[in-house]
Amino acid sequence: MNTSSPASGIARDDSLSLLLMRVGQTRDKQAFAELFRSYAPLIKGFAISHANSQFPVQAADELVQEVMLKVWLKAPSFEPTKSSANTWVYTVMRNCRVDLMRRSSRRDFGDSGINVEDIWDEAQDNHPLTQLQQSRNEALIGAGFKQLPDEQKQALTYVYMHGKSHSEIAAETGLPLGTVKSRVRMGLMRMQTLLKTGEMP
Amino acid sequence: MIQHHPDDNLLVEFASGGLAWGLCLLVSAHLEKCHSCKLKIQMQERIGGGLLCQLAAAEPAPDSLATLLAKIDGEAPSPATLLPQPPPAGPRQAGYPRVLNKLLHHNPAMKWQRISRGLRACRLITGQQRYEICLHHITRGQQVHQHDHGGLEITLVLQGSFSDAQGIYHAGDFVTRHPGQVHRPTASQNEDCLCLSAVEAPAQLTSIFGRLLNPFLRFRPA
Ligand SMILES: [Zn+2]
Repeated sequence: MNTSSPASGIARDDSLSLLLMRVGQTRDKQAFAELFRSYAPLIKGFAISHANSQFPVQAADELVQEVMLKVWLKAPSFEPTKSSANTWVYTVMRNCRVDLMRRSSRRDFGDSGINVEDIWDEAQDNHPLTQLQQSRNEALIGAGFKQLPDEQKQALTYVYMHGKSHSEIAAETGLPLGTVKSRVRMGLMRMQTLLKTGEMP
Repeated sequence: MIQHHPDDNLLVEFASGGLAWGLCLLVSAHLEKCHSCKLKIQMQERIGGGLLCQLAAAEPAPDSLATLLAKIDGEAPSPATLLPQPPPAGPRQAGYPRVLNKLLHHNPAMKWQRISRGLRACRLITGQQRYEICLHHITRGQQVHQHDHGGLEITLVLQGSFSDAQGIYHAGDFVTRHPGQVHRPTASQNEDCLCLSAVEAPAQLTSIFGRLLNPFLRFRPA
């Protein structure tokens, strides 16, 4: 995808949020098709980078279908005061991936009646962003991420782009678990400061 | 006032979908009562959203959009079915986290087992096998046998309070014990204590007397 400079990131972010609102409010299929063209390649990229034994790379197009269907169905609940379209789609995507992975384990261990919507219950996420600034700063994340020290960048890549648990990261990299934890924490702290203040610490 | 929270590492595993399902249940139950952790999750999700554009894009299958539009025009489920559902009717406790009430609904035949004087436990079916998920009930003033654990042990206090050498824990508190951290919880004098717990590996009783009770604590996830 593009290596969006902060400025183009903001524009991109805003236009996607507007499209998502249109889809939610007027069930506009043209707006939806535009959203699809923006997000489907990212969702497929996400699926490929998250592939593992429970979630094979062949499921990538399946994930695109599931996520975009959910985007269509849930768009009426999108509230731009709470999150940007990017973050909203990210959470939908995360939930769909967990759900797809759980389908195989449900066959093995039985259905407990709990689904991903119960775990990440959006109805509870009723905290509007306190500062408008925060959503704008979200657009800086990509650029800020590139400025992280390599070891923190690698740790957050495993967490966010590969969906790995810390112990999986330790196993894959051969690093002690404590090292993985502290790298993730330090990377997170810098990104959080960037979100809050708009500046990289 | 909640004093004990999941650490930032556990929270970001939750926010990025990498956390084991068994632990997701406990984190979710904690979040329902904990504003500060919810804000952290929101922040971590926002980082995820911001990193979205850093992913290497891949071209979707050529008929992908057409297939989807046909699906939407056809018999798509109504949006209502995708929104969080109210907890189903059934055994339900006011004040319990919603996710627990839903779990209880799917565990209609709850078998409480007496572990020792003042301690009862009930295993819950949670559709995963890495963590044993149990409700623990400690009678007021009673002390649980000293134990160690081979793996992570997480306890969410639901009602009442308990204490161990490291502190005192009240409703909503999320208590993490790592392997090697021996502890001996005691319920407060004035109220029974109810907890939801997740244990990764067999808990080891460290007192000689306690060893007799070990079979109960053996790892039997479901
Ligand atoms: Zn908390």
